[in-house]
Amino acid sequence: MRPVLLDVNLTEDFAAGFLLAARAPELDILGVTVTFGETDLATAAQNTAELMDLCGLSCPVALGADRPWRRTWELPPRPMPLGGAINGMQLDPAAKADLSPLPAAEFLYETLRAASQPVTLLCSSPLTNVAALLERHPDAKSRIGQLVWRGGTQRHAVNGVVRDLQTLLDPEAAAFVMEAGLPFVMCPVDMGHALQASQGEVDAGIGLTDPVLHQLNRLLKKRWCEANENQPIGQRTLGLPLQDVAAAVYLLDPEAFTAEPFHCEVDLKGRYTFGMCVVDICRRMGREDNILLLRDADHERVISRLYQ
Amino acid sequence: MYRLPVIIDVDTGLDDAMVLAMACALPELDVRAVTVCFGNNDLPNTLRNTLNMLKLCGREDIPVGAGADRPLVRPTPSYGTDGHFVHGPGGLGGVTFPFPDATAALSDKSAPDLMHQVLLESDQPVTILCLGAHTNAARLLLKYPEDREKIRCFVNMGGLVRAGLPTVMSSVNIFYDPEGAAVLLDSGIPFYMCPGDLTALAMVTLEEMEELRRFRSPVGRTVSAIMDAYYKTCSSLGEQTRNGVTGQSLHDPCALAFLVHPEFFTYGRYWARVETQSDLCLAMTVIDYENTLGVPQAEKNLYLVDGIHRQPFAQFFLDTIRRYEEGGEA
Repeated sequence: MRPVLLDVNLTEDFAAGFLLAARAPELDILGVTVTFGETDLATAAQNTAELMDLCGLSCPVALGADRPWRRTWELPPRPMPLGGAINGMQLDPAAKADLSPLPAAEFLYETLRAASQPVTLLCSSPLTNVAALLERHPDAKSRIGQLVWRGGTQRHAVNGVVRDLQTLLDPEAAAFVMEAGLPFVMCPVDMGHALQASQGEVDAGIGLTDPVLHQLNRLLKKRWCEANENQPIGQRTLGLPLQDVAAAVYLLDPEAFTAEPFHCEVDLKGRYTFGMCVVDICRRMGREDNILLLRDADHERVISRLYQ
Repeated sequence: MYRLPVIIDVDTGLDDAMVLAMACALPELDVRAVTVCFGNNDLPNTLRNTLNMLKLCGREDIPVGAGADRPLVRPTPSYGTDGHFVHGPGGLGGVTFPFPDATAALSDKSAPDLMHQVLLESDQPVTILCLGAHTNAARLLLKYPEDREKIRCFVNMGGLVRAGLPTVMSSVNIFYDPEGAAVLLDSGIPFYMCPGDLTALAMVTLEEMEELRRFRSPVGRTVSAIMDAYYKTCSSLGEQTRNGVTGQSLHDPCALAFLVHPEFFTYGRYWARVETQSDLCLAMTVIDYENTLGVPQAEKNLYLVDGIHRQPFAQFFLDTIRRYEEGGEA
């Protein structure tokens, strides 16, 4: 079994990836650390507790950064409860996690030190906790076998013309972690677009009796409808980008993916490009490759794991 | 088990009666109250039918609030020609009950006051399912504006896209009270609309109606008789075949199914209002499904449910009524 630590700001767009990782028998989830991100730390922590309760994951949870590493905000967090919508996931609001007394960075460090082999970090959100870990404990680096990030982008933007959310939420942390010399796998927004679920693939989960898979079906259908919500009636033809599923499945089946090493930086200066994830796709800078960029995947091979 | 707190507002009504039978049996639903409105028939009939149906289903623990007998603003209800014909002179297709008219569950509170009490006492927001005119829910919002925080969302059966019943651009549940519906759509509370275009597709086939006919429980037999009465009147209007499927559209049960199984459905999100001033287009649900206004996402107040997987819906309907059969727990 492969030892894994999850670092998440858990909202609807990572719940599917989280469930896939949590349910995979190949993965030994040693712990979950929580960060601020699109939603605030407290909401993310509650979402984490509820989702862990749903899938029966019982490892320790450690709370981490409630704001970016080096600034107040780029994007102020907003409340995004996982079980909020009438057609979303149905979770138990009374769920409580086994909270570690350690803050996230220390919890990560202690867990890495205690592990008998290098650990994989699966990160879904701003890299603030990892930046804090590496800043305080540079020797943690050698104990991280791989960092897989659901974040960054090569061509697609989600915010402000050129930016993706997970980089923008804490640009300095992203830059610092990318430059740290870790084996860094970037599962960018583009990977989500390359791996889209059709309505039929989402609806393959209708009628499943496993309670976790039923909730996953509800979640994916809601997300699919939201991807199509601005389409006119009768033209709901868009697929649902699955960046989170891609990141989780990469841990289970890396051979299913097409990946290429590149040099990547974060712009911290531009008027229009501050917070932009810059992949040197044309290899102009002549600098060392520091990311493995996921570019494509075997669709069938990855989608088949959705409702397993 | 996850239980969804809900207030069901009905104008029973053949398909409303089916919803009551379903809601009383579904463990996923926590029915906090049933409120009754005029619509498919006059209030005395819709109220009587509701109380009798709930008694038949063994759920006189659910309080029933008598509501509006006329629209919010207009002096008398406008039924158009179809409503009373489809649901029959008594509102329930001539179906009778083996007991005197039930009264035990009737609250001394009016519908808005009963809704208010439910919301006040609930520790979590409550969904309001509107299956008739929207008058009761509108009166709740106007009388108790502070209650809006406790309303999780509205789910309704009603509205049509560029089509009309009974008039050229209206749909019955909006037509019964255009101003009432407008209050809800103006409120900013999330509104999930199951329009007639959608609910027409929520069909049970003739074979599935035959399966229902074999149910032996008192509720099963009554729902089957209701189904037959519904099919009789709707088929005489030529409504029995849609998209190549022949059977009966279950309009109100479709809205209930969205609440319990949203995964069976697709929907979009658009800006929408109700037209209350036009003569030609009175009660039209004006829905910007081509985004001509380009309003910010937060102003898109309507979730328009537009697609359904028919077979899982029909299976859900039958499995729910089957719960009343001996050994019939699904």
